Amino acid sequence: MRPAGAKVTQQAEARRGIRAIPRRALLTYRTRHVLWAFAFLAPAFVLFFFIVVYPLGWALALSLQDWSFFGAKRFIGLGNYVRLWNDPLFWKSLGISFKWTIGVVPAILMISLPLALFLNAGWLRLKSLYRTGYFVPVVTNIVAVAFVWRWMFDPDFGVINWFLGVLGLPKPGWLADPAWALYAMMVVGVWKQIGQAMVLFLAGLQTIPQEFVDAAKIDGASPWKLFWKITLPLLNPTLLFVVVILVINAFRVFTIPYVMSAGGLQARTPGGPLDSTRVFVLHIYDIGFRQFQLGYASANAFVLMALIIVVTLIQIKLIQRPFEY
Amino acid sequence: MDLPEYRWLKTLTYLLLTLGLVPMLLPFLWMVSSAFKTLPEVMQVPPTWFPKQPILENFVAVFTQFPFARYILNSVAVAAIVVFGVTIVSAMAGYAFSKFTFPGRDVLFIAMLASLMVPFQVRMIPLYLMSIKFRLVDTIAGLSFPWLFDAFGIFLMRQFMQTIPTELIEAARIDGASELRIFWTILLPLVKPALAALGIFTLVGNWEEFLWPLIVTTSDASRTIPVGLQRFSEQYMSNIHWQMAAATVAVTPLIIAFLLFQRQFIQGIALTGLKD
Amino acid sequence: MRWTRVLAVVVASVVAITVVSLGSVMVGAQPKVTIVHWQHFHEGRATALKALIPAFQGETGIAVVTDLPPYEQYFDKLLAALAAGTGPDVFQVPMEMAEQLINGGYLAPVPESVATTAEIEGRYLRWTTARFKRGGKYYGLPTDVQHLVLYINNDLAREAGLDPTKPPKTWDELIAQARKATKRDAQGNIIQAGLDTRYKWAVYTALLYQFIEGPVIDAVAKRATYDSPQGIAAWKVVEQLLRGPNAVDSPRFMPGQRKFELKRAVFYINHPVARSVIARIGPDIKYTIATVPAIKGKRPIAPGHHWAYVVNARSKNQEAAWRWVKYLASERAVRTWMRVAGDLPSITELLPAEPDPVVRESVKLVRPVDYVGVCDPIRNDLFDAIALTTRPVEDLVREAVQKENTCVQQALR
Repeated sequence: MRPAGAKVTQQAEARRGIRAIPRRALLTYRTRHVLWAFAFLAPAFVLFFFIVVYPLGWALALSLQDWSFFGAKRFIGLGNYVRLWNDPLFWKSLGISFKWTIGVVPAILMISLPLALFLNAGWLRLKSLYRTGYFVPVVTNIVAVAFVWRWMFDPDFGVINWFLGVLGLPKPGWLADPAWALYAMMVVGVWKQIGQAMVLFLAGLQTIPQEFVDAAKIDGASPWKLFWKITLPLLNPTLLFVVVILVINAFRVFTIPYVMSAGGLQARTPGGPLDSTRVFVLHIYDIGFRQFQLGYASANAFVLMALIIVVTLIQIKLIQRPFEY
Repeated sequence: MDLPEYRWLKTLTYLLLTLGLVPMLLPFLWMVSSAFKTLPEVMQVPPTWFPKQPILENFVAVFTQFPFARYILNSVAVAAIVVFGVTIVSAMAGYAFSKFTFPGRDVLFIAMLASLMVPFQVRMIPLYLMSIKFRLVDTIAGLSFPWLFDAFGIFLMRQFMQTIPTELIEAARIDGASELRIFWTILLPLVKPALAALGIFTLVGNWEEFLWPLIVTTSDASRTIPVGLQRFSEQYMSNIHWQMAAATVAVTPLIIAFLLFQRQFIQGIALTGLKD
Repeated sequence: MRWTRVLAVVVASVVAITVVSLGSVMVGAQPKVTIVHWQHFHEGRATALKALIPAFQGETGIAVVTDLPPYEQYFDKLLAALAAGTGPDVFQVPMEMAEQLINGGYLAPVPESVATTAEIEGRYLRWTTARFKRGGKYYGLPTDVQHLVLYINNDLAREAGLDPTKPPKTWDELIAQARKATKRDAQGNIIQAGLDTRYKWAVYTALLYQFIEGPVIDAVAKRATYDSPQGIAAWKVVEQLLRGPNAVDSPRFMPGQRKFELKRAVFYINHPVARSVIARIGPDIKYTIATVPAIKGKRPIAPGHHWAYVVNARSKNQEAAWRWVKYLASERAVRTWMRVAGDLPSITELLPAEPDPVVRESVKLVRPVDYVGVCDPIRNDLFDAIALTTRPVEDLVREAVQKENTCVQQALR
């Protein structure tokens, strides 16, 4: 692409020469071209530096220091990383985040993929109605719906336990019970993201050439076979992309556990009861902005970054086309 | 999925799709219905599906007990700045990356893209310390600035602009159009769909951003809807009827926008994939 | 064409915002002194504060802007702001944070013009100022003075066959009566609590300061002592209250709801300030206030706690800030705190104005708490762990004490 671009530029220069526009002193066309490029790039570059590069370097420096915001900073090398390795709460919260990921991601896939397949079918009517219905949670403020779900999960007055009671089932304490709280929140996580995955799958399904499907149908393939032999293999890149997005979202989940566990109805510290919903970002937030151990919090945040890099690299490796989402 | 000769399967599909809608929409139904109930009715067991006598007092309480209008205004301000900033900055950078050649272009592009792998949580502590230093704590500017750079937006814009024939731009240059003019009158109109997708995607993400406002706001002067809502719920913890009214107020604007511009919303999400 | 519409909406809102914010800047550009005031949110006290601000503003022309974060967020926000140097001019701190903030140099000493040392010592209950004294100077004026009392819902008590005029004198009696008053459904879920334990702090504090004779938090040794046999005994009472089939309440029952105010609990331990909340939420509840139960054969002890209004050492409006604090702790304001919020007076002379004889008399039973630093969440979690797990209380207490030691050491650094 670069040679092509350069060639066009040369041609343009040549044409300019022909038109004999007076040469601006010192500034050749080529220089002006580059300067304009930098001008267009300048805002992005400045922001990139101040919002990403500089904070990243600062965070790295912080992660090597012992600093509680109030006292003096002390360089401790990898001390924070050693500390987190030995911190049971680090492992516990990492475990909770993995549990969240393992529960939420497959659940979303298993609901949204069939959903997209059905919504993509030619014979289905009321398509846009269904699509809208399943998509609405995506554009709904998560804090607001977290309240609503919290209230629906209320053990004594909630509609869910009322329903369980009608069916004669035991009523769990949900958010008040360390054994159930995380599952209740995972329901909300799934609910919120189904629409997003569905839309991505629908977009992916639209890229599948109709000829393949038609050919398979002429061969008399059953819908079941069609799905496994044609649709799924061709949908693989989309599937992978969706999985990566969902996994990264799952690693970074914060708002749902925070809102559903903190204050409000529960009058508790976020991540409760008894740290049973202390997902990893909540752990980082707690260390950084409640205990003010900014160095240690930064070290924890770098673990999160490492996890995200690993997932992204796996994706790149599998797709073999860097960054082409 | 095509099911020509499986009529019962079609019926089953409709049944499942419709049943599936129930849990998807129940929270909204529950929220709106509770928002019009009195507290005793909200706490009633067995619950009532529709308020016996709908009341508006809860909404009055939301706006009088709390500067909710202010929160909405703050949210709109932050969203406007971020959406506008991200689309313009991304479009400009995308233009530079796709239609210009300059030394270090590809390296810089890859570097910016790699920042997608740097989660906000790594940067939030330095960003907070920067906000303190530059007195951005508890200001609209402080709420907005971390989001103004979006590597994904630049990537998207570059992809889109690469599909625009370079000859078009060259022709304009020969006609003596300035670079700014080319960008503004030729390029931007051609990438409108991508701009809109990016704008909507940014809006949806920014509208419910919670972690950063939680850290950087300290007064109602800058609180956005999500943190304002959270504070409301923590203060009036047992006033469920008010909470439901507040939640209704908070979700309505974006849902209306969504219903009006459905196609754009869905394209926006499909193009980009929601981040957080 | 739709894109144009989207763009139009965006542009219109940007313009609107600019106009509105410019407008508000211009409106707000008065030369008046404005001080920023923070305290944690409490329904009763917020109402009292709302009444005090216009009165003060009218007298002095000083504007007061308040922010009332919920209790759970208050310390995070406050400490972050102080460390960042962006804190409010005036704020409220609990007694257990006194040392930490004075050591850190965050608080300004009370100027002689506001109150001399002798005046402060003569006016206020001694224990409500003691921890804010350092080097002959005071660093705050007391507010939110409170001690623990026992509330009894008369009707529910009678319904359970109890006599509210004969409140439980000892913990054993309280446990027995609360068990009698607890109701369960067919599945064994609690539907009426004997004792509302939502305010965990009140329950375990009432126990710890009666069971442990020496310090609960040893500020000299910088460690917690509640893993001593006396401390374990106190936590064992919590176990009796919350574990097993005879529990009198559960964190799973009406989580976060005000069980007592909603007539779903018979007994309740809280401060006198809870009266204002009961009056608002359950105005028809007939209740009795009694002293907290004691250990058999011992004099009852009512753990006392207070907050203080302090001025940020970095405030640019020191003078105006102190005028406001002085006003908040003045006789007139204290009467408002008493009347509207239901608080105890910090001014000794006003004590007779307290209408409830039990509340008034039990001031004599006060033992001020000696907690240090923002470490309450550790004990709250211990309380929850006793209720929600089956692990031995001794183990749970030992783990909590370790955490509390670290917390105390950090605060006293």
